[in-house]
Amino acid sequence: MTLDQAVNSETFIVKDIDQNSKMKKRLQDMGLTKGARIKVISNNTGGSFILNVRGSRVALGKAITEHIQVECLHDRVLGLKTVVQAG
Amino acid sequence: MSGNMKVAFIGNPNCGKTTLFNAYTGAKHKVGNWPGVTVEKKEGTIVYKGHKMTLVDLPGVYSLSPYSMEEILTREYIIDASPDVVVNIIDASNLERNLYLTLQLIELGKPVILALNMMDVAKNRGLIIHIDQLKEALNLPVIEVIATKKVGMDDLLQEILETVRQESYDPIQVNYGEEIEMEISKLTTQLGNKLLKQDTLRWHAIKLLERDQEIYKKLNVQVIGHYEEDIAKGKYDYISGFIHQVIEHTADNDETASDRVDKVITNRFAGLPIFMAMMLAVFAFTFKVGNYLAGLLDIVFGAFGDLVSQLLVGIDAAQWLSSLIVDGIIGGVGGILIFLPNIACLFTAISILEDSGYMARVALIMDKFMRKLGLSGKAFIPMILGFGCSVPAIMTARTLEDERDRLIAILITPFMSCSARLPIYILFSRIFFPGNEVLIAFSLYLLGVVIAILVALIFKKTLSKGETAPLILELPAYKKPSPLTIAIYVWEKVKGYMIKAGTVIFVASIIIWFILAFNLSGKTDITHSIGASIGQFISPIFVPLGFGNWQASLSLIAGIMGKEIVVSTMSVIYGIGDLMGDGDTTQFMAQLVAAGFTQLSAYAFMVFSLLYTPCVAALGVIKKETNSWKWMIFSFVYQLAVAWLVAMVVYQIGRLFV
Repeated sequence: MTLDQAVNSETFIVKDIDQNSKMKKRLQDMGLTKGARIKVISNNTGGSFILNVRGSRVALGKAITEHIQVECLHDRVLGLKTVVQAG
Repeated sequence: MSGNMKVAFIGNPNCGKTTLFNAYTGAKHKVGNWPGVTVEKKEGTIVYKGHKMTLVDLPGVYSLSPYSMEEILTREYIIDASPDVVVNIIDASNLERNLYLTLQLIELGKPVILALNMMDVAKNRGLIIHIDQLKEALNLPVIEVIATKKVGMDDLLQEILETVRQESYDPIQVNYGEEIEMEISKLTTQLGNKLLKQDTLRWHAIKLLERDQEIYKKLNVQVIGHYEEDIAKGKYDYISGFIHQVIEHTADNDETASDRVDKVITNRFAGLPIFMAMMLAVFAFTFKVGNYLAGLLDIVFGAFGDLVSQLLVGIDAAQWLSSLIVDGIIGGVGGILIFLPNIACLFTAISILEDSGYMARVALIMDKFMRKLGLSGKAFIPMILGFGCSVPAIMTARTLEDERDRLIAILITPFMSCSARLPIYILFSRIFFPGNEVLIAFSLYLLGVVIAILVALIFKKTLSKGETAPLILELPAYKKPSPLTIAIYVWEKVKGYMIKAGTVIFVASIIIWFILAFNLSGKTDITHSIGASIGQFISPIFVPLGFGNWQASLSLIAGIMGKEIVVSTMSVIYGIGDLMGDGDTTQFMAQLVAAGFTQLSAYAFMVFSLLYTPCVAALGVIKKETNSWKWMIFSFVYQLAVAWLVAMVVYQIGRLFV
């Protein structure tokens, strides 16, 4: 899923960032890299998202969040469990 | 080594560099709780244990990539000016992200000292930071400081001395994995022949692998492959590897108080009304409290004026001299100083907004609306600061990533009604709209915003087509505004205003007095003076605006020096030293009416004063920030045209109803 569909107070892992290299670089500088854990603080500002990225509070516009692929940490843990059980 | 040591202060935006710099040097540079307050490097010299040190406060950066003016400035400083020590200031409550820059600084090969700032904030959030673990993980000296309380100041200086004395410097190296490390070593060999400083070889190699355009141009080396993501990830992974041994969370600080406040303050429905209420509060404070204080000040001035008059009579001074002193100097300068309380109140309010952390949220709240105009929400920060003074406001447009957007922000900021225009509104609305001063002033503030927005729309269609950079903005934690920070900031502004009154306005008042008292054949009455002739020459332009009299024309010309001078010129023309007293106001009104002013033309005059050319200082900063005479002249001419047009429309449409 993309980050703009994320719900408040959930923690996500960044899977992929689909942006031009300049934007990617700026996001990296703010701590948003593949594999980073981010938590959604507020998705209710009317267009932007407030996120907790590596302990800092970052606001991102919708134009960015809809190009960030994430995976819910919760699902990931569950997914691992099923694999373990199946194995 | 007892020569001059160069010490660079580097760190993320809003980590406390300027606060620390001020604490050491006694300077009073502006600090604010939002990213991007410092836009230029500042230097200050101190002496510690007989050693001279030059401290350099650099603008905050997240990394050393060449994507913004600040980042380029910072890294060029480190590479070219080659400071002896880099003090990397770190927000302890935000350690993980801050350390990313640290790793980049280490790669640059200069000795780095970590100054862990805001330890008190971190403690309050239930964070325990194990300093020894951090030292070990990075192999760097780490000093705890609290810049706001001047804690750890000497320890840091001591550490700087010791670091400079050290012969060798052996930093850690982030290992980027086999493939990248191979490429790095290939490149360092290649670069070794390029006469680069040995200690920056690895950094240059890494920058090439990151496809850093600036370094490409500089070195002219071809590199294959894309590694920037892997290199960034390598650094963050390195930090993640040890961070859990360094930080301990004692409290469940998953959602801080700031987060909870943000949920309300930036809420899609509540955000805008709260912001409007804030702005109303700012203006209410400026006018209500400011006017009350101005009333007190007026009593003092009145007594002073009388005293001087008596003194002049007592020493039997020449008539021209007492006229110069009483009408010219006391009238002109006093007529401006009387507004000091309003201005102090306005800057206090703005400073509270900044220091609390609300200013950064304004960018977020206004982003949706600004985007409709094709601008980023960040463009709203210079606009709000423009209520105070256009000069620093225009400089903060640097926080905009896109050059075109920055230009638009610079060009529209002077439409925001700055504090120098306040005296014009207060004076005219007191005379023509008694009882409705606040409403009238507010209407002008609003008009300024509306015009700025309309002009931005036009510019966006013509100057800078294309997508606006999406919003990326760090939101600082909210904090209780520091009375000391605010006091320093407001005092600097008040001092600046008084100095201006004592210099520019003082000289302008004397000149105005002179050209109103003389013409080419000697002393004359005011209507035949040089000043009147200049005013008369210009005044036909203002006939369609309703104030085609020489007095208004002359005041507006003089006002280009600084908009306060519009009022001080009027004071000199009409010989009123005491604008707050009722007696003078009545007399002044009679004279203005005699010159052809009505309620409507007074309003048109205020509209014109609001919108016409930026003052000389603002023009100077426009020239500096755009780096072009063209844009400076453009802003002069186009604002004049906009002001004329809008004031004309106001007057002509108003006439249909009045």
